[in-house]
Amino acid sequence: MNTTRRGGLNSTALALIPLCIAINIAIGQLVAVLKLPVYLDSIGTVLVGALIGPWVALITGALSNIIWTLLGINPPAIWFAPVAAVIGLIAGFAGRAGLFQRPSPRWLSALIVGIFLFALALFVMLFLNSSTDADGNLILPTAGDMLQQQPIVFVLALVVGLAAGYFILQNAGYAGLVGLATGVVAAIISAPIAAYVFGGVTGGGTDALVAAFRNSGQGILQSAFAQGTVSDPFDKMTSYMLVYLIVQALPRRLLQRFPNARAVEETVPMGEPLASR
Amino acid sequence: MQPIYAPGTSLLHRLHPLTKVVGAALVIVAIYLLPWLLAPLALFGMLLMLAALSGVADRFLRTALRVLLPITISLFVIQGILFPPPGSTPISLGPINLPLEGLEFAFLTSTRLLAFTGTFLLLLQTTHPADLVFALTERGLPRSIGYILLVSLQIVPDMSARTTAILEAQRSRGLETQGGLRRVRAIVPLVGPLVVGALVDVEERAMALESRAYTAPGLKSSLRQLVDSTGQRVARLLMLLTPVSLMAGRIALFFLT
Amino acid sequence: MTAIIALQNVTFTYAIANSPALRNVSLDVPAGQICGVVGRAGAGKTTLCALCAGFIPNFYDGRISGGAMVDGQDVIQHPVADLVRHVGLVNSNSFSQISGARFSVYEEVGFGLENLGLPRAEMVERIAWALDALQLGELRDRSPYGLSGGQQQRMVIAATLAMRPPVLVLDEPTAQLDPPATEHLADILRDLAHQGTTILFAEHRLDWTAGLADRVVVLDVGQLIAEGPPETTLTDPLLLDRYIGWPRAATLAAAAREQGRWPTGRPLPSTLDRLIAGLRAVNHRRGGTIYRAPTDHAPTDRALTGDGAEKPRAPIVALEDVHFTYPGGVEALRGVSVAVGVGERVALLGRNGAGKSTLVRHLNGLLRPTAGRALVSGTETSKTTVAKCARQVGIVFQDIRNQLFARTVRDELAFGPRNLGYSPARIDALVDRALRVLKLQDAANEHPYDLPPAWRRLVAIAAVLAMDSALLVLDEPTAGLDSASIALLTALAHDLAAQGKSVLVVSHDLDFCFEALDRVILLREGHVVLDSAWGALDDAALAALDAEVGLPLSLRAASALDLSLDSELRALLVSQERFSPITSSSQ
Repeated sequence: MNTTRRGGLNSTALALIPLCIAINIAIGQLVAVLKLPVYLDSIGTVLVGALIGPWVALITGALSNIIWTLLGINPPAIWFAPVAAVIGLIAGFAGRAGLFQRPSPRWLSALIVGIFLFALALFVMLFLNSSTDADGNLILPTAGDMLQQQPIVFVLALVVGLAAGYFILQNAGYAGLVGLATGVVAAIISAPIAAYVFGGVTGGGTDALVAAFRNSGQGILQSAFAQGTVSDPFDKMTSYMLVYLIVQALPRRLLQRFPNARAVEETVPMGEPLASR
Repeated sequence: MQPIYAPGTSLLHRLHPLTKVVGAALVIVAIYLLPWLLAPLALFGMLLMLAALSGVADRFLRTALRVLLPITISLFVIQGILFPPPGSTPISLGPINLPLEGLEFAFLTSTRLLAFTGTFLLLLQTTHPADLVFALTERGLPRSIGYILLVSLQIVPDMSARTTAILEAQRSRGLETQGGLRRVRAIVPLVGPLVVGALVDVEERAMALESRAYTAPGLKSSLRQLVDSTGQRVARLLMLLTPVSLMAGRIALFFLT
Repeated sequence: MTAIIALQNVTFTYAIANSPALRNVSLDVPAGQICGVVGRAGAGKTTLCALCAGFIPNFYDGRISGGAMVDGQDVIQHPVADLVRHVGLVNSNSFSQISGARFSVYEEVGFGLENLGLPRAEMVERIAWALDALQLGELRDRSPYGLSGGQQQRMVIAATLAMRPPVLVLDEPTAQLDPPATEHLADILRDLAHQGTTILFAEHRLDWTAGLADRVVVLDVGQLIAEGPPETTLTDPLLLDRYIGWPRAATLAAAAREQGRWPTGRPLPSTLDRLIAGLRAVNHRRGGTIYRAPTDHAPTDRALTGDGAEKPRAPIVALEDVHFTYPGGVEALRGVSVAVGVGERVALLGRNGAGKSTLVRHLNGLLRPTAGRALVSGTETSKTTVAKCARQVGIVFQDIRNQLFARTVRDELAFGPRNLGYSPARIDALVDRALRVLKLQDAANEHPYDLPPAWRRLVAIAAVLAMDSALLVLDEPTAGLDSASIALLTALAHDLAAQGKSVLVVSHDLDFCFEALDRVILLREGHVVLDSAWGALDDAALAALDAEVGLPLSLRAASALDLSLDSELRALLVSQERFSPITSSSQ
């Protein structure tokens, strides 16, 4: 295997990380050209997690945002370096668990996305239907009330979720699930940063969402968090799904070179593990 | 993508990178800790002057505004006008009532972002990235991190160029890129070659690293040399102490008012 | 003299492979020798190079037996970093060998020295020597990423040599280079060998190998099957049996010999000079004819199929006075009028920067003219989409990494036809036919990146071939291909024309263009300066071609021999009906 691990970063890792940072940026810009409603700017980070491991992916994520700044593309991006780092960390653990190489049955994927969308709808409706009473206390409607009053929204959310999971996510269910979870975590961490540094806005299309939440009387932090919960999980789920597909599409001899991917790879005809120096 | 570094011979260009880094850190602390509303804008003004003196004002201003304009607009519209914080005092401007605190908040946040962006821009425009990384490595930045930063800086333009070439190649095979659902389906044939092609390169790049003895044990030497001076060292020390006193001052202010 | 490279019975199997990549290879290379390694794609040349530089088994996992010593070091035991002062490896893809951590050629060359911790004074001296040896002095302050392919290659070699290894190993160094850079590289390697560096290189270009190597070693399926001086080894019939091929000078001489025009008993030549000498000897014996400048070259001398006459049917693509200026202001095409009709095989030649890539991108609408019209099957490209033009025009670009993305060869081939909306039955038929034509049936279920690089290119071509377009455009298709694969492409071009389809090739490989194609378009600075059949080229045209891009070997021999008085020999040399030792029944 590769010679001399120096602080966990051997020559293969050092060769991979800059490429994955560049992939983050390149795909992020490509997606902007295609005008899709996602960011997809952490595919490289997730890939490093899938192939190498959590801590290397953490470094990749953090450095990625720093590079966004150093290249002058978007200097304030450096504020979100911790978010990118955590994304890498989670992806690395998912990779270690082999989730990028284990296909899931399609019905499971459907179920995952369906449940998630349902929960998200619940959350959003909670926000939008909350009100304040005379003393300034927050009154939250109960779930039962909401389901009774506006069943269409929840049914729609469930159906769209099931369809999306079945047709789009397909066999990447496990990876997609971790992606959704990562998205939620990312939203939680980035909300305070977005609220304090950016006043909760991004300058992009998602600001309409923020406006909607503010319209219902929510504060900046809460609105930023709500906006994040709506867009981040799907962005990350899509990223994880793409990385799953990519790992499936890689040739064996390439996967051999990476610790995380190799663990699950069993097609070694000679059978003997080889000692690395 | 144009490189951000603009070579020059101004004083700012000639300073040791660490001096500039410490200075930038000081400015950033000031941006967020100074309690006065106009402070960030004033700091930006100072940065603009420094940029003019260093001969980089034109690009400085254009980049800063390009990055900040969308956010500033959103801020003023959403947080400033439409949804002000509750209990804000309205100012009458003819028939329109503008909320004072909302506008203040939008103003403060956007000028802070502007000054923050400006600090980084000025630093990067007057410091060659290799010098910056070298200076940091001398002071303890791990060599690998420095290596990754430098390589990423040079590789990104190439990767972006590849996305164009990939678009061309796949469109020539009949891939349509207009229209909603088609764009979604186009992601895999566009992202696939980019990533797989890059990963195939990893092997050769790792080999090249080995061939250049990167993993060899022992002390490394350097072709580059940085010019430093006692004056700058003293200045750096003073600048490091300033935020401390700033913070102490802020806390004192808090208790006294 | 003790050998500086000493391999003894080396057998190596990659970790994920089923069979050994090298079998019982023994090789001794004395100091200062230039040793060339030839063989088909997948024969083990890359493995051999990697072994000599210490990458096996430390970088490429696998099982190894036998001994390998280079410059007194055991390359099997030591990690690469310990061996850099003894042996350096240079691959064909110079771009990925740039470290990326340095911003000028000067510093890039010194990067390895910094890692070795050398004192500055010594680094400066070594860098100066390396830059000088590789003639990079003028480029020392340029960014490594702003160089041409040939310059980058030289920079990588300089960076490797700066560490002063006595042995330099090069794996397919000319794969990505154009002819001028290739010749320049040969000169530099010869100089280095004179100064004492031992050079081991692996190559597909047999002509280049013949002109450079002191000694040639032949690999087939991991085994060493022949070795010796290039004149005898490269003309050994064994190479034909194993589908490795001969240098063109040898195939031409063999054709001459078939017709009794080669001196009896004289061995077949491996270089152009020896070919000319041999043919001259024959002509001398025929009565000492005096050579004078030929006055006319009757096209009837040629045994040609097609002569570039006007095609009655509508052209597949037509450019009418096309001008194109890039957004940055560079005017790439200045009034180009070109049409490709049915059944034509066209070569598009020109130097780098002449406008070839720009022209190619007009053929399917990727670029639209800033003035003039570009038409595909009668429709202007500005009025349709690129994807729709793909039905008529299929383009295979030079960097195939930008194209391949599927898990199996079959899936890759199906992508194009699927985009065009063909029925599943038709898609299957087209895919099967493409697999058959390019002899990829055995690899149909393999991952394209698991195949040797030469076969990968065939996969990329097959993928576009499967779209069954009327015109197939290939950009530098022979880069990195072995002789057997090139023969497949030559046969493909002829077959397509016979079926009523057309082919347009952009290439620096003039021999391929001469043997596979019948029409030549020469581009210079955005203008078409030549557009004619090979057979209709007069002296002035040949001279113009030579000045811009060079000549195919047989035409160069013909012009050197001044054979207006010997029409038979001339017809032999300029005939495109080539005695091909590698027929399309190979592989």
